[in-house]
Order: sequence, then structure tokens, then C-alpha cells
Amino acid sequence: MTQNPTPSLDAVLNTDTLEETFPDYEEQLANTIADPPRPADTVPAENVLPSELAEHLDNDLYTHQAKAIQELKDGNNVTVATSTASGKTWVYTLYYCLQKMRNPNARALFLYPTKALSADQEKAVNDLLNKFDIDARAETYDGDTKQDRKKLIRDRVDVIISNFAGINQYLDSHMKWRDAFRNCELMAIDECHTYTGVHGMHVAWVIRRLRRLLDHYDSDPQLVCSTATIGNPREHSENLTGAEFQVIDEDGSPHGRREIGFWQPPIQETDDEVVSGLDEDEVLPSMRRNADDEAAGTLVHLAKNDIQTLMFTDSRQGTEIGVKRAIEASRKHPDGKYIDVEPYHAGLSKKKRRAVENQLNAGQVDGVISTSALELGIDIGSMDATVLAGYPGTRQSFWQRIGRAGRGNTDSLSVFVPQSDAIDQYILNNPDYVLEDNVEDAVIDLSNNPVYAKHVLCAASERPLTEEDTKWFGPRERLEKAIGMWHAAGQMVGDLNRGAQYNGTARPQSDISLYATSDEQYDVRQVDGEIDMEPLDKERVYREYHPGALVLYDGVQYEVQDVVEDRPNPYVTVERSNSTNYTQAIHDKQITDLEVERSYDLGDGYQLCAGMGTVHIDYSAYNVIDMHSGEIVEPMVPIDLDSISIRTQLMWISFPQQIINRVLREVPQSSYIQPSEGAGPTPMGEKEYTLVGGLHGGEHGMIKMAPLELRLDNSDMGGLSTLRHHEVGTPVWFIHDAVEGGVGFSHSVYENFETVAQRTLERIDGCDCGRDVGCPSCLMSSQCGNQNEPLHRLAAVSLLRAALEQVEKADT
Amino acid sequence: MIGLTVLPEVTMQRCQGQQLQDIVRYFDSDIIFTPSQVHEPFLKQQIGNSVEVMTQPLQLGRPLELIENNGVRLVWISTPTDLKKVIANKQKHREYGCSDTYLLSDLLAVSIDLVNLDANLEGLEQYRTPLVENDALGEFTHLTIEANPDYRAEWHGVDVQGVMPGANEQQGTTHTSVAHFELQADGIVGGKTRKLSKFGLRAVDQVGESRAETLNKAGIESRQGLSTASVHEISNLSGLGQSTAQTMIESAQVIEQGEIRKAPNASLPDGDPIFIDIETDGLNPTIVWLIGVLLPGEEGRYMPFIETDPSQPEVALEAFLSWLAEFGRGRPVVAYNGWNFDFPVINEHIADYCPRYLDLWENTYRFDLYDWAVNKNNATLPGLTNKLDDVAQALGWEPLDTGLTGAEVARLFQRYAENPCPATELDWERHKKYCEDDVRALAHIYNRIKESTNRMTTSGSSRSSMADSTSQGTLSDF
Repeated sequence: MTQNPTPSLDAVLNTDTLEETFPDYEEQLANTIADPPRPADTVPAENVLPSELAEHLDNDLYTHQAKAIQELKDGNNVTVATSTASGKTWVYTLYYCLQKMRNPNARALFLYPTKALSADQEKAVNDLLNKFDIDARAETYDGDTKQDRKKLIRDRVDVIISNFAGINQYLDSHMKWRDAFRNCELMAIDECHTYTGVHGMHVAWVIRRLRRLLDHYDSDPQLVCSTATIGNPREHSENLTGAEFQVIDEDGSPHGRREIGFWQPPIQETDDEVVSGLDEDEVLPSMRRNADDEAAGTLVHLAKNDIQTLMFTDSRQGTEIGVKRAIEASRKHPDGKYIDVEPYHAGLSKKKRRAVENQLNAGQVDGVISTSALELGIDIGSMDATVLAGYPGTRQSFWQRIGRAGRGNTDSLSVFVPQSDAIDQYILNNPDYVLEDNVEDAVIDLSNNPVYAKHVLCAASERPLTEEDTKWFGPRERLEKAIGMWHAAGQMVGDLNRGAQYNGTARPQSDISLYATSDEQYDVRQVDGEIDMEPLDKERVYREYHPGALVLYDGVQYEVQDVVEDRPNPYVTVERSNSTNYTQAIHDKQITDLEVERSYDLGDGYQLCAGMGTVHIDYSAYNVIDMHSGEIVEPMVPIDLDSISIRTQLMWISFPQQIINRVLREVPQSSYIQPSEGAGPTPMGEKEYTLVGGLHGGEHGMIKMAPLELRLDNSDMGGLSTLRHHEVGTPVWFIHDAVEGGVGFSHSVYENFETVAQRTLERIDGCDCGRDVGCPSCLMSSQCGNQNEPLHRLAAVSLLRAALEQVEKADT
Repeated sequence: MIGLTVLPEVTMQRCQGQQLQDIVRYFDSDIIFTPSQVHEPFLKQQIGNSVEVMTQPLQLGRPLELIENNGVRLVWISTPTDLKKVIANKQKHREYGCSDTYLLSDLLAVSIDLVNLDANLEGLEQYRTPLVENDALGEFTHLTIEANPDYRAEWHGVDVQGVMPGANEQQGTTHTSVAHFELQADGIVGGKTRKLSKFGLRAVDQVGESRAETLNKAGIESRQGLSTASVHEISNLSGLGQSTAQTMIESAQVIEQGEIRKAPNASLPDGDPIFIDIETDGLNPTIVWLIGVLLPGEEGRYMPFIETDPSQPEVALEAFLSWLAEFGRGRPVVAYNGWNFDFPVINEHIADYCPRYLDLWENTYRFDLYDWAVNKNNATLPGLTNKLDDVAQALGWEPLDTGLTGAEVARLFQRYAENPCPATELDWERHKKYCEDDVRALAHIYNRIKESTNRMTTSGSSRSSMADSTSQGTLSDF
């Protein structure tokens, strides 16, 4: 089937071909870029490996592999931050071979983010051990391991493969792992860029608990972190593990020429013909066809040209619908040729997934539409082309997906189809962004106390905590405070002098969800079926799952029926829904009790701050809105939930009072906005209202654009803007974490203020919408509790520009 | 001593009459407390006048003495003013001797603030004022229904003990349970918490809430009734098969008749067992300060290996191990629930303090009687629960009343280790006796199993084990 050895833009995605063969082509191909090929950079294996190992190799090593092994031989910990498929597994497996040759008792722990990846890697590692004729074996120990294998693996197997959810549980019976721990000489943490945010904090503490027990058994294994390219590999590895690292990030692996087409969906046809009557510059990105539908069309186009294509979308449902769309499109296609397209996602049975993997490997399927499930690890050989429906959130993930086509030296072709949101539109307009070198920083923040305290409790149940443990859980004051709290709560006895031990009845390890900060987790139950969904934090329930809310989960719409809270295990009930409406909760938010931890005086009354604050949110009502017309179908339906307060991290930028003059000078008077009647207790004049619209717009824009610089989930963030905050006293906008205790997101926005603000300015200023009040691709946010009012694009631009000028002034 | 039994609202709502009678019998309660007044008629009707019944609200404008037993008093207070009156009263009647007074209230609630790593005892300030002003700090034990039964802590001199299961989620998991406290004259509180499902018909293997209801409807309202029913009669009830019916009846018989049933082919280890029980300073201990060893024989020889100095965690262990090396080689070391506590604790402490004995210990045949009987299904044991005390007593063992529980022992040792002085020093002889009583109870069960010739007729699972997989048990449990 794959007769087309080097698919290229020239061959299949040029205007002529498209006009000829793509049904109803409307000049969707907006842009193209090409990443030139890179040759392999290698060194002879003998340079770093003894001949007993090197002789088994048919090829040289890539330079980054050799350098990493050399660093390890010098006794250092190593972070390998190179591209997908650059042979990172080889680094730690080869080094383990060296250790095993030196000491036949040497054992190792290889830790992966998912069970699926563990299974895949177990095979890869064993193949390597065989290849190098090393008398050692790797085996997976996790929730799927059979009971009768467990003791055997713990006692005997050289390389134990596991994941952190497992390790969190196993540490409690560390005596059983004595031999494995005592002889552990190497610990590999794979794909460590996935450990960010809340999950990253948990994993970082599990690693410290693990290293503490290894230390107890007199073992201090060398560490290898492998990560996709991130902006801060050293800092991230050190935050994650608490150890020091040498970074290897000069990638010696080759790749072919990579061509990417940027494909703007055409305007969605509607019945009322309102849209078709608009001029091109009046079209909002949200009026365009859905990216999934459009991407399925390009997949069909490629498949018809005998190019085996893998398409990525964000939901399971999206894969199934995409397949349907693709088959429809293929039937309508004038050439009448049959194409075979399959869905792939984690919800399918193992058997079905294996079958698709094999078909891909053997070239027996024209196209596959997958969720991120096929982005990592799983061996499917190499595709001819990939199609991305929507930006996956990070450049690393973008390239990981692109990289599924044309592995090794072969050329590859990809198509990116943007959604209508701000980031996708930014990338469509600035395609060079994906080629830039500086990639997103991974965000891990160990200052969150709720997560810290729980791991302290676990550690105390694993071994009594003593003075020595300040090196893992310090500083001392913090550890003492946590112990003091648990002591007073009856969960611990003793102190650091005599040993502080856990004294509750239930195992605290079982209480930890590696994805949440609070115990109070709400299960989600479907009244008319079985929804498979992780429990939710209370904050999230109040924000998105209030009764009456229409929510989208994995591409399916549900209506929330009830929030049941007056019981030990609270839950939310949902029911399938097929509404053409969506809901938007309206809330009243206040931020109080600010505590400045870091600040940067930009001069002239501009100030940038980061710290803690209490965010009070009262979800009072919601609007039901028609998805197509945007009209409110049912206004202000009351929500019967108490208000919530969270103490969390935040950042803010405050402007001098006289900023209002500058903004109003820069904004044409004709575009000033008026508060709607009866809005708010203290009516504002149009000048003030326009300025508030700018502050509000700047806050929205920065939250929306932050993922361009930082690996974070902006649905776990929120903001507040006001003309005069009672504690700050001047115009200000806040960005806060939406998680109790904070996760470091808003603080990393503080640290990267200049770049995030710059990107935001570019996006808002350059948005096609050209509207004063902005659009979903620049200022509007579906999470806004104020019905996206007021927003003012030009005022926001003016404020961002003023802030950036001030930063520059302060820097020089 | 006062036997105080506390039933939280959620338990009361599900509690059946026969369960209530079982509860009172099992704990030997003097007084039952439950928060809501609506249950009072039901309680009185079920248990008559043999036991005091108390409910809220108890807003009387004065302290209310709930019960008095051999110089121990339990008093309900609604406000700090009540507390003031209690103090005044006590100071006036000092001549009555060293009676100990327990104060029960809802005035003190524990809460934690994870973001700021602070714990708070709400209400402490107002509560503490009359104590300080009248120089009465440390004179009472303060029971609060706003904290869990395993909660005990001192807040600026105020000794607080929780009594209400499920009062505070932050202090652990909640399920429908009953708590019982033996309030003693010296301020020692022996607390036990049991699940409601350990009482009445539901104590029987294979009987849950809905089957209990089915049986009730069929006129079988007690275990006694079930134990004498025929398989035919029971299996005719909807949803019950022949083998389930047989298991249920057999389980009811075992409990009612105090008998052991052994599985076919069940056998205990060869060789003379060495029975052990350890005392520590907690569930994840820093010290094993007492290892009680009992050797079988006519009277059985008891040897306590003890070290009372908290800074010498290796001494008792080494003494025990050197004895074991010399005299115990080849003999099975038997503990109750050993794999969940004694064995791994000893193992870990050997690795820490005297690793030269690690091989000896790991090559010793360690035998957990509880695990063998209950988890491995080798024997069905009588008693409402499979806990050591319950099983032993159901088999005719007469416990020595030391008034201690494992958790209380650990707490007292902690208190001593924190501040070793005559005031906190433990009554070592009493503790040795407490430990001795436990190993003797263990030996008693072991011997009765050995002698027993009763066979299980069903191979069904034994009664649900109390060591849930997610729980590490509690010190008082076994």
C-alpha cells in the first residue's frame, strides 16, 4: 500500500492538486513550513563501551548516547533531553549492562508514567539485554502483576519496571523490597516531562520517599531522567528528584525533511446564510468548521494518494466521529476508491488496540484516528504522514505527534488543522513558533502544603521520621510544622528526636490520589450508563459541574443532575445529553488576604507580585446559551451551592492610577464601551468601563497564552481584574491557581511574565476578529464568570504594551 | 469503671433491635450515648433499664451527671459555664477521695488546615479558661463527640479524648461503627471500635444487610434462631442456595456454641510452639520494648524480655533473639495477626539494630494463627469478631482485667518516652501482666484448635476478616 516513499507538500498538498482533487477546495492551505533534514551525529561505541558490549552493536552510538554514558561512568546523574525515538532507553539500559558486568548483584528500577508504556518497555529492555548478551532480565511489577510472580520479582529480577502509583503503595512494605533496594545501582525515570503540575508534585514526593528508603538500605543509585525536549531539563530533574544532574541535550539522532501544512478550516455553512454574507475580515475563527471534521477530510485526501496517515484528535469520541466523517468523505469523493480508517484510543479493548497496531506496522490500513494514546511509546512503525486536529498544548507534544511520521532519515509530511481557540490561531498565524528552539518549561512546585503533608504522613508510616529526614522533607521548620499538625490531629505520635511515626489506622498511601490535592474527591456517576472518569476536586465541581451544567467529557455531552455532598464520599450525577446549548456559570469572585512572597518593582507605579491569597468564589447562577446563535436561552438560573474559598498561589500586576489616561488616549473614543443597564452596584462611566475591559482582557489573554511558554493546564487557573482592589489600591489583574495550596502555575507566569505578555500582546493585537470586544480566539473565555464582560481588545493591547515597556525600562 | 458505648447517628439509623442487645452484651455497657433524641424510645424499648440511655440536646443550664460507678463519674457539660460548676463542685467535695471525673461535651472539635500546616482545637480557648482560672488543668479527661474514638491528644494541658466514630473525616475513614470506652479511675481509657456489621445476625458469615432482612421476614431474628434452623428451611428463602445456607447455619452455630470448626486437612505446625506478643510505642514503632514469650507446658512458662529505657531500642530484642538462638531453634514462633504486625516489626528492627540475627529470624518458622485460621480458611473461630480477646473468651478464657489496650499501652509509653519521670513512668508490672495475659490467651486458642475434632462441613469462606486490605489494623485489635 505505501508506494509513496517520500510524500511531500509538492506532490500532494499544492494548490493545483488540491483544486483538482480536493472536493470543494476553498484555499484552506494557509501556510507551509519545512524543517530541513538533520544527519546523524555518531561516535564509535568503543569510545565509551568495553569491547564485550560494543562488539554486539552493528552501528555507532549517537553522540548524545555516548556522552550520557560517559557522564554516568563518571559517577554523575544524567538527564537526557532529546527528541522522540532518539534512543534514550539505550542510555540507561546500556549503562545498566556496564554495572551488571562490574557487579553481578547490581539491580535497577526503571519507572514509566503508564502501565501501557511499562509493558512496551519491558520488551524493549529485555531485547537489549539479550542483544548485549547480559545475564539479566527485566520484568514489570505493577497492579497487573500476578500474585505468584510478585515475591519472585522483588527477590530476583534484575531490572524492576514499575510506575509511581505503584511505588507509592509498595513503599509501605519496604522490608519485602530489601534486596532490590539494597542492590539498586540505577534508577531510570522515563518521560519525566509528563510529571508536572499537581501530578508532578506527587511524583516528586514519591521519589523522595523512595530515595529515603533506598538510603536507609545503604543504597544511592545513580539517576537517569529521560525527557522530551523541555526548556528546563536540569531544573526539572532536580526539582523532581532532589538530586543534581548533568544535562545531555545535543541530539545526535537524525531526521528527514519535515514538511508541515497549516490548514485553516473553511467557514461553516449554516442554514441562515448569515455567515456566508460576511466579508472575509468579518469572519470569526469560531464560525469555521470544526477542526476534527476538517482534519478527517485531509486524512481522506492523503489516503487517497496512497499515503498512510495517522491523525490525532483530543477525545475518544473524536476518533470515532472522525472515522465516520472520513468514511463519508471518502464515499462522496469522486474517485470512488475505498479507504480503510480505524479509530484508536485507550477505551478500546486490548485486543482491538493490538490489532490496529499490527495493521499500522504492516501497512494494512490507510488511516488511523487516535487520541494521545499513540503519541508515546507504543511501537507502530512509521507513518507516511500525520494530521493534527488542534494544537496538543505543547511544542514537545506537537513534535512528538509529527514525529510519528517518517522516523529515522525518511522525510515526512504533516498537516496541522487549528481549532478556533487563541493558541491554535496564534500558531496558524505564526507557524515559525513551532520551529523555535526555546521550548516550554516544565512546572513543578514543591511548596504546596496539602500535598506535602500527605506524603510526610506516608513517610512516617514507612519509617519513623527523624532528624536525618530533613534532607528529604526539609527545611526542618516545615517538617516540624507538618508533624506538629498531624500530631495534634491524632495522626502521628513522637517527634524528630525520638522518631515521629504515623499512628492512624488506614494506610495513608491509599488515601493519595496522584492527580489531586485534596481528599475531598467527588466521584462522577452517570445515571443512564457508565462514565469512566477520574474523581474531581471540589473546586472543579463547583466551577464546572454544578447542577444543570452541560459538560463535555471525552467528546460526549452530559447534563449534571445533582451534586451530593452531605456524605463521606460525595459524588456528582450526570446524564447523557444532546443539547445544542452550553452553559456558563456566573460567579462573584473576591481575592483577599494577600501575602507577597516575591515582587518586582517596575518603577513608575507598576508592580509585579507573586504570593499567596484567598480566593472566594460564589457560583450564583448560570446562563444556558445556544451554541450556534450565542443567544441566551435561559438567563440566570440560580445555582444552589455554598460559596467556596481556597488559599492558593497567585500573581498580579498592578498599574499606576494614571494608566487610565494613557489607555484612553490610545483607544479611539468611538470604541468606548458602556456598562449594560443595571450592571453592578456601582455604575461606571464608559471610560472606567473601557479600562476594566482592558484589564479583564489582559488577564484572560495571559491565562490563555501561558501554555505557549509553560507546561501547565490553564483550566486549573483563574483570574480577577479590577479598577481598584481594596488591598492593592490601584488597577490590577490577578492570575491565580485554582487548586488548594497552589501548583506553581501562576508563580511561573510571574517568572515568565515578559514572554507570556509579549505572546499575548501579539495574539490580541493581531487577531483577525478586529472587534473591540475581542472573540474566543483572543479575549473571550468559556471559563469566565462574568459572561465575558467587559472586554476591550484595544485597551488590553494598550495595557500590555505599557507593562512591557515598563519591564524593558526596569531591565535597563 | 464506667462502660460508655457511643453510637453515631449513621449507625443508629441502621441498627436493629437484636444488634443493639448484642452490642450491650458484648461491651458490657453501663451507658449508651447517641446524639439524636429520636432514638431514645427505641433504645429504651430494646434494652430496658439495665443500661442508661443518653441523647442530646442536653442544654440544661447546668452540668448533668450521667452516671457514677465506684468513684468514676461521667458528666455532660453544654457550656464552659457548666465546666466551671463542675470544677467548683469537685473542689468542694475533695473529701470524697480521688474519684476521677470524665467530662463529655461537644465543645471541642479538632480541625486541620493543610495549607498552613496548622491544627486547631476549636473551642479550646473558652473551654480552657475556667480550668486555668481554677487551677484545675490536668484534673479531668475531656471526652468530645466532635472527634474520632482513636483521637487522644493533650492541648496545652487539656487531655482530650474523642469518642464519636466518623466525627472527623480528616482523622481517618468512616464506616458504620460503634465505639466503647472503659473509663477508669486513673484516667486510662480503654477504647474499642467495632463495625455495626459485627453484631446480631450480620455477625454470621455470608449475612449482609439484605439477607438479615430476608431472615427477619422469615421469622429468624437471632443467631440462636439461625443456628438451629435447617438447611432446607433456609435455602428455601429467596436468593439463598444450599451451600450458602449451610455456611450461614454453621457460622451461627460456631458463634452461638463457642466452638471451633477445622477444615479437613488443616494442621498446626509440628514442634513445640513459642508464643509471642510484643509491646511497642505505636503502629510504626521506634522501639519494641517488651516481648512476651510463653512456652507450652502444664502451666506454661512466661518470660518477658523487657527494656524500659526508650533510648535503647535494641536491648529487649537482642535478649529475646539470643534466647531464641540458644533455646528456640527449629521451633515455630507463633503470634496472633503476626504477619500484619509482630513479624514485620521484629524483622525491621532486627535489620536496624542487630542485623547479625537477621538470618536466624528469617529462617525461623513464623506462624500466624489468625492468618492460618481466618485468611487461609483453616478453621472457623467463635466469638463475635476474630479478634484475640473475643475468640479466646468465646473459648472459655477468663481475661485478667488489666484495663489496658494495645493502643493505650503504646500511648502511655510514648508519654513516658517524651518526658521520662516518675509521673509518667509506666507501671511495668501491670504491663508485663497485660502482655502475659495476651500470650496466654493466644496459647489457649492454639491449644483448643489443636484439640478440636470438629470439622467444617462447608468450604465456604470464613467470616470476613477484619484486617481490610487497606487497613493496617489497630494495636488493640489483636
